[in-house]
Amino acid sequence: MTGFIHHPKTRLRLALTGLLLAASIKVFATEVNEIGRMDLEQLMSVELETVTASKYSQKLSETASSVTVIGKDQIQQFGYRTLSDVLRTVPGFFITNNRAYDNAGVRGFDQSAAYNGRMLVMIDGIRMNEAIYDSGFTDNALPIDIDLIERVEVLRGPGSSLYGNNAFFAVINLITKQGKDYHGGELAGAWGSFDTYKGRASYGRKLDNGLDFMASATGFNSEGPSLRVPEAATPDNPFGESSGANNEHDKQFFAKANWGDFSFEGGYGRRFKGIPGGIFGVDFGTPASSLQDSEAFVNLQYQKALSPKLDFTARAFYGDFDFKGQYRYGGLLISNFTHAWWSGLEMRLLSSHFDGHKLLAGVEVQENWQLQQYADIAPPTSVAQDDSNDTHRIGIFLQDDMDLTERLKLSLGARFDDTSLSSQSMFSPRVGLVYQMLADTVFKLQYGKAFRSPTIAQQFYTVYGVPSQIANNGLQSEQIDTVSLAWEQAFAGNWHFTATGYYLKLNKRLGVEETDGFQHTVNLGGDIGYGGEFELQRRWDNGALLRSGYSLVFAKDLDPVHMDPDVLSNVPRHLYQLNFMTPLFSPKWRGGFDMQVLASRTSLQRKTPGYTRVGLNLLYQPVTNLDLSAGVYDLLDDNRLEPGGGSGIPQEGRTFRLKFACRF
Amino acid sequence: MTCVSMLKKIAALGLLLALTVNAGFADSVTEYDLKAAYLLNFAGYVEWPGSPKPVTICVYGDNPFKAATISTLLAAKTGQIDAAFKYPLHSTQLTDCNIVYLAQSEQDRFDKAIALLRNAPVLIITDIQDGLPEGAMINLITESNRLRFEINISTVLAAKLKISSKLLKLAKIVP
Repeated sequence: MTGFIHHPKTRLRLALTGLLLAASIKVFATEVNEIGRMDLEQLMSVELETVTASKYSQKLSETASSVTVIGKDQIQQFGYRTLSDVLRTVPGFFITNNRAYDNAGVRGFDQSAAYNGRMLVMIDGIRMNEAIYDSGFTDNALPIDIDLIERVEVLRGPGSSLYGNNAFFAVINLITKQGKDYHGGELAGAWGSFDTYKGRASYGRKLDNGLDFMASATGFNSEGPSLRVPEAATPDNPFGESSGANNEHDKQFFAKANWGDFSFEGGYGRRFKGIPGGIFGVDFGTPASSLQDSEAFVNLQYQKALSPKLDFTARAFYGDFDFKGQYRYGGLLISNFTHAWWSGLEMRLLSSHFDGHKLLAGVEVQENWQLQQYADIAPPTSVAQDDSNDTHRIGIFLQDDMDLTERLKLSLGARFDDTSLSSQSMFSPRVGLVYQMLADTVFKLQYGKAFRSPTIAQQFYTVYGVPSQIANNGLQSEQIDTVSLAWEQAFAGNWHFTATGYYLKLNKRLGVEETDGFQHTVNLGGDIGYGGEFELQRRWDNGALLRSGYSLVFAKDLDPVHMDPDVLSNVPRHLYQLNFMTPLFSPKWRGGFDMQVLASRTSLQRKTPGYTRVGLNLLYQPVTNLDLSAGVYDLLDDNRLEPGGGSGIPQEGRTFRLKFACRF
Repeated sequence: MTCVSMLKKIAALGLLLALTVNAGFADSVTEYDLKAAYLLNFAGYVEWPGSPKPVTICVYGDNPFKAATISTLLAAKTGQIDAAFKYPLHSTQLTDCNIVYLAQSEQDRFDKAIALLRNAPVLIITDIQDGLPEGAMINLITESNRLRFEINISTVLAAKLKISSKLLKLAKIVP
């Protein structure tokens, strides 16, 4: 939120009169080579194209204690396909898939039952968690193609003091590329296992008058693997072999433009997913169940330095979410349609008037209009649920980053949130202390409070069918207190080591309780979690990178009477991640290796074995405007089962992908 | 669309043979590739007390340079300029550097870094279009579509650095 940087970026044209050949070899390395061979006088004759200042970029790292940043070079060289692929490489995170969605586990807490509602997902600072279930999608339902991302910033720990609702365990911000990063068009195509095809067309430019714009469209189709669902085994079908119904069809559109103090961006994504069934009581085979999520967003922003010491930002936003679920239980078809749209306004002031202080103050208002939840059961059709609500939330936040001494910095922040869904107002303070003990040694201590409001779905959705769900409109927000201590150490030049220890206490956790066959959400008792996250990084001058993480995780339900199998069970005690990418043979070839080792997880029903998941990706850039890559995911075919249902949820195992991207 | 035809060519030749394919056109080097070349070249025009080998060039703040560019430039200058790039995290590490480039992300915090380096034999370089910040020695600016640089000689002299007259001839001198 703080710190706006102006990057006057330009393109160069080499006006090398008489200096160089009229030029056939135009490969990247050679060109830089050319300026490498010039002396200063020759360099001064290189002609630049227009220079204009462009937009800021938001710096999440300045407000945080524990941040991992993954740049586009890693997205490309490791062959990441979705945000889920990125997150699995981040310390403290793991991904599970229940054949409907990807769900992120953070610090031992699996979010399958919460649709990732315990983390805030943003695109360029715009909230993506929608207004019905608060889901923060990490699969293709997130309305942006990962190829358009400049970098992903992952902040572990509470973020409610700035962002309010859902910034509970983590805040994830995806910063998109700009038009000037494209210099024209780009076409990309990919082909992968299970008849998976993906295509993308993008165009972006920066014009001489300063207008920077880009637009992109993506299509994705996959037949999906047929699975062996042990729960669905019958004498006729002893392995529970599913016949398709695991297909996925997605679309994503994105556009942005920047001109002077104004910026606009908007996107739309739609993901259709077939549900193979056999798990959670859903009928197995055809006719299949399915779900479809669509989300759209628009953001208009104005940002101006009112004086050299005062920055002003105002933005207006709009969002729309639509869900269509068709589930078959025991021959009955349950159709569930929900729709929401929201609009809002945010204003921020950032001041550096007082010496040694950076003050940020802001207000955010969001109105959610016509949150519709409809469900019917057929045959014969009977409407089980049909209601519509308007809700709003208002947040006011303040943060002061102080330099106490040359070596000691203090950050105080708090946000006050009022939401019409709950009688209670939320106060989320944060205190951070950064102490630079030695030149290479930094300690960070942080305490923060965060919250997650009950969703409209938890409060107002009632369906008497199979399974039955009843609303509970007396729910309160759940809250979390987190204390963390981080030690950052640089050594031997380019090595960076970070160790973070945390202790967290969750109060009034929103969990599902089942009584007499009816499921409803209730505020459960407390949970605690503690653990350590260790990260080691090194970057080499030739672009090679090593990033390795280990997490030790403990989580405990303090009120085990209400055991909620989806949250506190299935905690992997150990989580190890290794990522290494490097140029191979020549700068044209680059390789990426990533590995995640997850310890076994135990729940009331069963124990899920641990796995070692290995990814390999090879990138070849024969010329500067063409990228070719080939990747294998889960090379060892070891990540075959995720917890859930009676006998676990089958995963796809080893898959591959071939991809090209060309620019013109 | 040249790259589509290229794809075809490559399919025909096989990936490994594609090395010979002629692109026809390519991305130009970026502004920051050029700035990196300047940083490296400055190392050849300045003398430090104790003649450090290699000359340590530190990039402080959000690194705008591509790692591939840096390694290519260093390779191209092998035998002429002995330098190494470093990326310190904290301002207190800057005193170990011979050249410090303060990235634009640090614009709000220049004073602090510069105060820390006051009179130390460190060449402080910035790229602020609106003029050389106080305490900085060289500022990279754009003028009539060329990259130029300003030098503040008094701060250079105060830091006990010797600057070659050739560099001064190329520079815009700021009093």
